[in-house]
Amino acid sequence: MVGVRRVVPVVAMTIGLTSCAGLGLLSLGGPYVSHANARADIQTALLEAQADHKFVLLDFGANWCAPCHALRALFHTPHAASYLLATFHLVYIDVGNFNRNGDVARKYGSATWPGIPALIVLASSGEVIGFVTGKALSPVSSGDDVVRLLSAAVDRTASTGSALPRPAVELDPAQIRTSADTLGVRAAGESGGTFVFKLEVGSDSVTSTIVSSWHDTLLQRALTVYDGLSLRPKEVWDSTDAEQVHLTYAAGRVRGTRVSPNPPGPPDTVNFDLATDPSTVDRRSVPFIVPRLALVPGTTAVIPIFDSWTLRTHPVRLVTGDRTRLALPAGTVDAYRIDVTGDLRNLPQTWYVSADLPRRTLRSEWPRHTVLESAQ
Amino acid sequence: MTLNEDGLFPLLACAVVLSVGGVTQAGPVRLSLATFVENEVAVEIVLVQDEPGRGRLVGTFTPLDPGLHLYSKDLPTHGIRGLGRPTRLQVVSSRSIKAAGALAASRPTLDLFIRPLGMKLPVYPEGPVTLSLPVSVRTDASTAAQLSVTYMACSDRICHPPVIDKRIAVTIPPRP
Repeated sequence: MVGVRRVVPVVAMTIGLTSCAGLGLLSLGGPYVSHANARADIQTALLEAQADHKFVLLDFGANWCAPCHALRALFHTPHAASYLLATFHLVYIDVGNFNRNGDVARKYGSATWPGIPALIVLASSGEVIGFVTGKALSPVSSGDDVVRLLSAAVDRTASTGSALPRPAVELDPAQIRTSADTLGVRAAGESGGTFVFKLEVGSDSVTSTIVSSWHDTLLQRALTVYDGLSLRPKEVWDSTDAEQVHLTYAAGRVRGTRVSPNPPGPPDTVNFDLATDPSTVDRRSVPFIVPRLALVPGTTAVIPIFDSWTLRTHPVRLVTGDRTRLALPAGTVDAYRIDVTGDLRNLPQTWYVSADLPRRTLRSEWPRHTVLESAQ
Repeated sequence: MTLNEDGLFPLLACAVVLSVGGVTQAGPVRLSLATFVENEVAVEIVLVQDEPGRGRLVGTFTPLDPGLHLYSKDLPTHGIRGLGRPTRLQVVSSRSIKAAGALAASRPTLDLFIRPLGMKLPVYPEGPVTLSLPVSVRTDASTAAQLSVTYMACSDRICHPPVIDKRIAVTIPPRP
């Protein structure tokens, strides 16, 4: 059965492991099959899950990966094996040397970043509802740990957001005002882009708009609606050449849809419904938050930021530096420097905001020699 | 073009910096050939010329996170029973440097016991490991060389993508 289908019961995996171990110096083998059709296997598992009301567990890994074998061995411990069998249809997806099934990994939030094994939990509808990847795997050393982590992943009732806490960073209320910043963009020394950030403050909500373009090509248009009191994101629409996204943040969860190109095939659509820290903000909130920080030099704030590309929440560090002099095309001005770092796309960034009021974004330095700068 | 919010993961991005610069002093001459960070490991490669015509190609591999280990240089290309990947530094082609001995490691390996599989894998202890390859050096003229690097960083819970036979083009300048 193992050799025919990759959607395998846990019991069958145990037999396969034992058999391979008896082969002496030959390869251990394993469940990750290079010629498998991962997309078809996932579809089969989803159909079976719809029929028997289970979930689908995607296990991205490779047969050369010792931690993948170690995790699989934990799957076979009595408690974990019975739990997995009762709860999931398991699909093993071979990543090769990270050169196989990359499109499938990308569809499910760059699943194999930062490494393998990586476990993704799907509802029978195909909705992504949980990740157990990277550092989340560190405390897994027993079958009970496997059960605990996956149980949390399938628990869709968790809600901690009723209190609507403000973002885990102190903003200056005076800076929450209708405004617009237009920045010129240089990339690798070439000018030709614009980055426009607008904020509109309404009676019960705050709306931010990002429009970026390169020459006459629109690169991004993102709209984020924040709760007017808590300033937490409520809803996001974003369109770039890499993804089209709609997100809603509510009750300690982020739900949404992401459509991303998958040439030469049709675009990939993935729906998700994931638990988040109640203070989580959206990736597109960085240009909103940074210029509106309560600027206290020497302070550091760490905020959880959800990234629709990885479908995961990443800690991002904001460090406010001392007041400094900043040379701009129009002259030298006083500014505060804010360094933004973390395992998030397009970080690290260094921002400079005006020391004078009203606060303005003066410059933002991004990776790959990209500089956004005020012309004023 | 990175004008919107999209871009590459910083941790996955690979930046190779090729540089040349000799130190004109008595004793060994140290030429920095390449530095890069890829898949959670910082790599620095230098050419140390101990005396005219003889030297060492020295590669230092530093995992970025505690808990990560690198596998022994002596691991087979495809690992032991398929598991693990060796740490290697090789000269692929060059008119100016040629391997003149066996690759040596700065630290002995220890056996990582994979309990569920009942097998051991030789890995270097946590922290940097330096591989040294004796080479014959001919630097009467500036010449290009191609090096190859292989490694993979894993902890007991996760493996980062392997770097397999990464080719690095460098220039060996003439010795002053």
